[in-house]
Amino acid sequence: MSVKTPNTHPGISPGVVDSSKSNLTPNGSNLSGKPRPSVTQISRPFFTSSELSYLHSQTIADSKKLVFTQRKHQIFQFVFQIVKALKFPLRVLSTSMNYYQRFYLFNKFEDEEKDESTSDDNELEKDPYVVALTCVFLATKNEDCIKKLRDIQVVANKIRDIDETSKGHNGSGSNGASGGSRNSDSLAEAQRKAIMSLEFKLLQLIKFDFINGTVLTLDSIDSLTIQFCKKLGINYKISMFSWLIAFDIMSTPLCLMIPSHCISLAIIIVTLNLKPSQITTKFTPVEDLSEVNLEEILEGIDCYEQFRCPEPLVNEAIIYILDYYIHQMNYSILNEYIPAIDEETGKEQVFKFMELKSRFNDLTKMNQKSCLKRQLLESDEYLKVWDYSVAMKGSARFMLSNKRRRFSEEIDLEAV
Amino acid sequence: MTTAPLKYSKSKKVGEGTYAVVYLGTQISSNRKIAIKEIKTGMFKDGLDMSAIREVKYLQELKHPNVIELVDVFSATNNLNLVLEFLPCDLEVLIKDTSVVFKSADIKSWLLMTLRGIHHCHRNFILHRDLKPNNLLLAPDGQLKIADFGLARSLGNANEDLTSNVVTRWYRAPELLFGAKHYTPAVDMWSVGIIFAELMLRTPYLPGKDDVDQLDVTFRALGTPTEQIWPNVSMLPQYNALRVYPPPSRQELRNRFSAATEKSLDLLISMTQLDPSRRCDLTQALLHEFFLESPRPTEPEDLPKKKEKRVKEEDDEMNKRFKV
Repeated sequence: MSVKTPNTHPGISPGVVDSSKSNLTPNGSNLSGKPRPSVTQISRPFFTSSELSYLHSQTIADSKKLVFTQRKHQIFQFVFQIVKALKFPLRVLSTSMNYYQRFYLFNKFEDEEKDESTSDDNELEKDPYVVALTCVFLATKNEDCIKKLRDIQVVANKIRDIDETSKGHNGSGSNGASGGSRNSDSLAEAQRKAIMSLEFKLLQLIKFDFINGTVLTLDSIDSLTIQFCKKLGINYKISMFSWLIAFDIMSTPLCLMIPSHCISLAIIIVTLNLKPSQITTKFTPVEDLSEVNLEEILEGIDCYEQFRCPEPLVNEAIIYILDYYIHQMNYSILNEYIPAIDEETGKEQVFKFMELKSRFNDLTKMNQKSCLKRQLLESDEYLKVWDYSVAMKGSARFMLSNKRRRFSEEIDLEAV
Repeated sequence: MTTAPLKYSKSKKVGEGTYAVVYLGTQISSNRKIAIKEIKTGMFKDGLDMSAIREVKYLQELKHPNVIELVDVFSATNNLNLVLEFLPCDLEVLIKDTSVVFKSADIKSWLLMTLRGIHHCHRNFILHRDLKPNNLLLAPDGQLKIADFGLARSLGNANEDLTSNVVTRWYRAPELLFGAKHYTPAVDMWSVGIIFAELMLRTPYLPGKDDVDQLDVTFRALGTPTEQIWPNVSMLPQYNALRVYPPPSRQELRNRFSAATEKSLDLLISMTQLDPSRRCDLTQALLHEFFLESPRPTEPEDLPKKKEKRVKEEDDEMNKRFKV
């Protein structure tokens, strides 16, 4: 929900990102009596798939869709390297990837060849790698794995083989000879400035909602999946299979649609249905499990009673996971741990997923009727490209979605 | 649908620190007094301060009469503003004010409100990690509210290391003094025990001069932990070269806390067990017989209050309290 005052400053229209001005120069002229823009935003951590594609249509040009996807994979690889090098738990990776994908729902994806002639500080802010660094940085703070930004930068730049000390950076990532530059910051310093500015933007995009619409103690998908497996008495190999799916799914936009506990449960249900028998693991577990047991566990799962997962959300996630493997089996991590041909059926693994999907055709999914029409999506101010100048020149207020009731009361109060 | 663009008015600045400025103000619609913590962003080497993130993260989640309320979060002119309940006094001010007399029923009431607030944090899996009289604020109606969640964190994964460098020194539990990397909500319980003692003594119970002295002061008062009373304590990083003090006898404690009843001593001993696994938890403390024996805890509105003072002094106090 997003509400704007009607007396918005004429120079500021919602939906236009004004990135030409530095974030650090407060504009004094607005204080002189003119009405200041003001907006209240109630955090919406999750979107429907139609909302997501609508948002992307505003930020990613059709011609750049492929570049965006490719870049995203490279960047998640890069983030994974940072997380590994700094020995962060996987939830930092998971939160970083969530932030990165969220960032490009509300910011234009620009990934052009660097223009050497511009000496604009904002150039670095558009670099997806710098955006990713910001996401990692904020994720470490939110996940209580605090590291100095400098330390993260050193590791990150080493991974990308970038010379941090090179001078004359205009914020552009390339190490070119942009002679006559007025800016003599080293790359590291230019990067730091860009990250500081991006951090505040990212905070606005997540609406200062540090629990992501769930509860404080809700873990990331990987860890939840293992906890659920343990609770259900699932053995090592099957748990490992679930964990591999979790690791694959973690990098998809599913985390922008479904809360993590529902995704984890969906992963387990998919696993139990597939009854994986061949999986390569380093360890040889002592225990063995008969198929009967798997059926039993599957039968015994009560989505809501046991795991507080609304069934339509779990079903939604199940279909998403199956679709993911049907289309991207060859690029998945899971693929590396299972034989190419399934022993029992004698067919490629992907057919098992397709067969399973056909069995799940009649699942009750979320009803998205209310947000399918483009007209409706267009009238939803929350889905506009976020206008950073509101927080700069006026005020932007942020509320958690569970405070919605209080907000309604305020509206009623003012209507009187 | 509209919202008033200006919902709060700022009146005066009451404190300034490296990363935030605190103002007094009013919520215009309700005329309620509030405190606005304006957090400077973008100028620091490491961006938005961790304590600001924690305060937003945890206070947004907690709502309880004995926990400070985070009324609003907004960003204006590129700063982050936290709108908090306005609480004019804290327990430290009262403890230090020798003209105020504490009855045992008053101490019971403050202790009870503190325990209720912490219990609410712990049942939401949040450790406060900085409990001290200075962070127990008092509302005009006498309610005690736990504030300053800048060091709080959620109880996460059991195999993850936590930093032992938390809690103001005098209120730091022995496991933290020994540099434990894994600890439990019992660290907050210890702090409450030390605050309880301070309320009775009207002076800090274990005022160590530095981290080394803190160990000495703590064990001189409560005995040096040994393997017998605290299994595996000698495995902790900082457990070495300790002077061995015997545990205090019941009579010694009676002498130290001359006004304390037997039940209140029981509770104090239970809260300040050296071995964290033997320390009572919040539920046990709340159900302790101390709260059942007479006198009944004082009603919040009848609790002692800060004496009226000249404006200048009040300002100084505010400045001190909001040193951020």
